[in-house]
Amino acid sequence: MPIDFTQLKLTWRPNQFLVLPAGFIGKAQAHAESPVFLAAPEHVLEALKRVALAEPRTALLAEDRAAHRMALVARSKTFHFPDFIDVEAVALAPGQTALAIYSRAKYGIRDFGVNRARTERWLAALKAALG
Amino acid sequence: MRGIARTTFLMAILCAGHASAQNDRLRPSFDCNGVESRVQMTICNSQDLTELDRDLARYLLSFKTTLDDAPARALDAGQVAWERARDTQCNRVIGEIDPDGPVYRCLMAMYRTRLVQLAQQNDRLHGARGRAISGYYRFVESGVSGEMWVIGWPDATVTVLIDTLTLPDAPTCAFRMETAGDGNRIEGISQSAPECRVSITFEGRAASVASQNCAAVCVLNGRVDGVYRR
Repeated sequence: MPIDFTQLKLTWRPNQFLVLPAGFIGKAQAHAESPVFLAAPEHVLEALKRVALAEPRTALLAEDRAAHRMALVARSKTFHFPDFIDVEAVALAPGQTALAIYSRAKYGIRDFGVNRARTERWLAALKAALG
Repeated sequence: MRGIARTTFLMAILCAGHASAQNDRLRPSFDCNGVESRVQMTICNSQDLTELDRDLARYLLSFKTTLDDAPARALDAGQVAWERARDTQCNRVIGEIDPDGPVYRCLMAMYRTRLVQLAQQNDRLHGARGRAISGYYRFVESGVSGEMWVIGWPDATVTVLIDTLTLPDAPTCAFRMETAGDGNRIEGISQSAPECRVSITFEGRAASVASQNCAAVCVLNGRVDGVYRR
């Protein structure tokens, strides 16, 4: 099941990247703040799913449409080492949505910026798609 | 001619740098700025090798945290020696550094072999009851060949990759799984087709693979089943 971002705690390992909406109340400190998208949460989540699944070796693991959450996995090419990505679309106001995204490597202590790069790439593509 | 090739190559590097700044996809475990050796240029120019370099670095760090000081230092020294061997061996290869060229193929082989070596070291240190299952396995039988990579992790997870071919070179199956297990038998499901279940029994240098419902990961009536050997 996708994670509950209010309960999320980061580990000490530099192999993760967390984006939260501005003012999000939780136990973890975000690495970056989510942009605001002018669309309903279900539309933002659907658009992000399209962006994510367009990348190679990326798959949907679980989805909770009522809670606007999903969990994905992205794998490296040769050895298929996985990174897990949890996403929640958070309604800020009618027609305004921000995202919580937690992307992390399953293995290893460092990820060499892969999770940050992927998250930023997805957000940029989403911004381009939704405006 | 050589001048043109060099200019083309420099343009490729510059373009790669631009792409890297744009989407950050080309970034191995080391800094690609100012690299001069053919080996490092090839890695920096290849998405496959970049990812493989990061995979190796991930494994190495993951393994190192499980070790005491002395073995961790030995692991570092071993890695430095391996990098030197990699550079010597693959810099010596004659040919272009383009993707899928001879230097690329040399590096692919070096990285894969190194990852297996590290996983085998991990097996010796952490494998339950002396289990040593990590390795590169091959299977050849009546017009069908297969290769299997088994990578054991310090947390007892095992990554398994199986690719089969109908000879001479038609790919038939591509099976990937991650599973847990400390014994000489592991089983799990395909990452892409949950109905596909594979069990692998290890005995000495042999691994017997048996599958159920794996049509979704195969074409041309391929099967992953068989006895693979290290």
